[in-house]
Amino acid sequence: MIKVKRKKFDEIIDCIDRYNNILNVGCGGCASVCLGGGQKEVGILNEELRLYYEKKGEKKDIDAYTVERACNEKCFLDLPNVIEKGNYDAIITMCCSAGTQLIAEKFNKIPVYPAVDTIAIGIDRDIGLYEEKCRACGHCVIGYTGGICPITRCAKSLFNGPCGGTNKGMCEVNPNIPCAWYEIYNRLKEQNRLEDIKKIHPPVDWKNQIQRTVVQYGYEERYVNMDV
Amino acid sequence: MSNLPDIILSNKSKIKFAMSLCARCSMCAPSCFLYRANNGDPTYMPSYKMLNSIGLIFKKKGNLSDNDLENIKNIVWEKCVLCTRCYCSLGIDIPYLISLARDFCRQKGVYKTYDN
Amino acid sequence: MHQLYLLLRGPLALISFIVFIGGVIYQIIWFFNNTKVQEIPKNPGLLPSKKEIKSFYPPEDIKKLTKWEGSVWSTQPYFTILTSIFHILVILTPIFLLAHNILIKQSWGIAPPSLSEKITDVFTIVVLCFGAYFLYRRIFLSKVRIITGGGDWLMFFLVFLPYLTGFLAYHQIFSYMPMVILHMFLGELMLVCIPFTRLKHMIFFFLNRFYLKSEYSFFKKGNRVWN
Repeated sequence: MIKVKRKKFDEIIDCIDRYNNILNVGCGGCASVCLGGGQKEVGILNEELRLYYEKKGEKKDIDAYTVERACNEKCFLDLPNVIEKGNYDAIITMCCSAGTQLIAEKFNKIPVYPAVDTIAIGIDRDIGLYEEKCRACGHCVIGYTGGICPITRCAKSLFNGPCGGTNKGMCEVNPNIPCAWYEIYNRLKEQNRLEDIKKIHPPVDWKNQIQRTVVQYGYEERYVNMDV
Repeated sequence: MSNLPDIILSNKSKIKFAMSLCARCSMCAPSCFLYRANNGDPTYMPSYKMLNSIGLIFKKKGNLSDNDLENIKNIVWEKCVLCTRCYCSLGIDIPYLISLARDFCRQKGVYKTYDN
Repeated sequence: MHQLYLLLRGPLALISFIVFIGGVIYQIIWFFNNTKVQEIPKNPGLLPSKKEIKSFYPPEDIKKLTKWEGSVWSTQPYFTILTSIFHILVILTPIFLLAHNILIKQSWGIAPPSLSEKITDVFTIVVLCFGAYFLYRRIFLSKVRIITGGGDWLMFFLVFLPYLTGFLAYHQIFSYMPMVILHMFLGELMLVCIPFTRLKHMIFFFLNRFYLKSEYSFFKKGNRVWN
């Protein structure tokens, strides 16, 4: 699912340098699964920060709390009480950007800083090794491209076949990266459905993108006035 | 009589192995963030969740009372989010075993419903 | 009674050793038959360079100090240290005990190195103290009590009764002969039980943590997965 990676240590220091009473919030969902921001990583970061400030001779209280899922208010567990009791100057979060924004919205009196970068929607290749598979463009074409995402895999995110730089199945940006369109072609050919990429599809509307809201299939009635 | 679905039977040796290996040392406890978030409630401990879900299913060969099923439902759907981060000093893959228990529950129609 | 002593010393001791070693070999073979090597898959993306990775780290001295952060050495340091000491002692004591090694010399003519009796006596007392500590944990700590079953008590007594009887026999606190016979019987029973009861964690601690692929595998080198 969502893959996060811890920010550079200096950047985290930069954010929290002026605060003394800080809460570090981890997430037990995707961030924990990708070994990026679960309870263990929160503990590691806190210990590193503690040692850093101890060496500098500054006194800072950095507490830790891990919620079940930061992207759903109902899964915050005891977080509101923890924040109320702790009287914190700042919150650092180790959940994805979505969770961070929900926490920032719910506790909008306190500055919230992410301690991780939300990298990608990806898959688990191995322990601690993840591969980006999706950029959430909102217009999935992998049905036509043999299950290989050209947006993610092609360096230029080309929709309609390879550029002129494809070289023996490799990308011109870096000769170690395989060309996505080369792989798409091969896979479709193997499955005998090359006509899928020859079909003409309507262009994607990239311009003027506004924040997307997902109203799930079958739930439209709750949120959208269907009669209008 | 065994009343176990295929998914459990095909993993029989693994489940049996884990049940007999677990030394009940309780060292897995603090690695579960739900255990810590619930002030050390021992029913959130990974080993407890494993032994009382898949362990119970396996011990009773799938012939579970309604009460057992209710407990297992509570454990696998409420008390574990399958974040796959439990520590086991003996290297038992606890999340996999709990996911097997979830599979069992699905096949028996034991899951959370959101009707209201 | 002397007959029983000779039986336990001779054939039964040999049988228990054979069952123990055979059982360990069987479990090791079982483990390797049921797991397979899984290589790290080829990644179509680019892996970060060493320099890039380093830029995420805190200053070197802090990184060194937090090396064990997140492991059990930091989340529950006291119990980890205590249980490590216990496990080392519980294995070392019988191997380097003088009386055991004299018996081995008398039977097979080889003399393994021994520690002085004073040291092993202290070791035994420490192990018995640990026994009391584990007993306390099993009975009074709710997180341990809730998962404790019959097999755990079996494991507990299998391990500590040989130590207790051995200690009592060495100091001749009760009648010596029955105590030493009981000690030999319990010790041999423990040996036989190791590969087949919960005590098999003696074997699988190493196999699982060194060979299996997991977040917590030692040295991050485990590359086997279950079939």
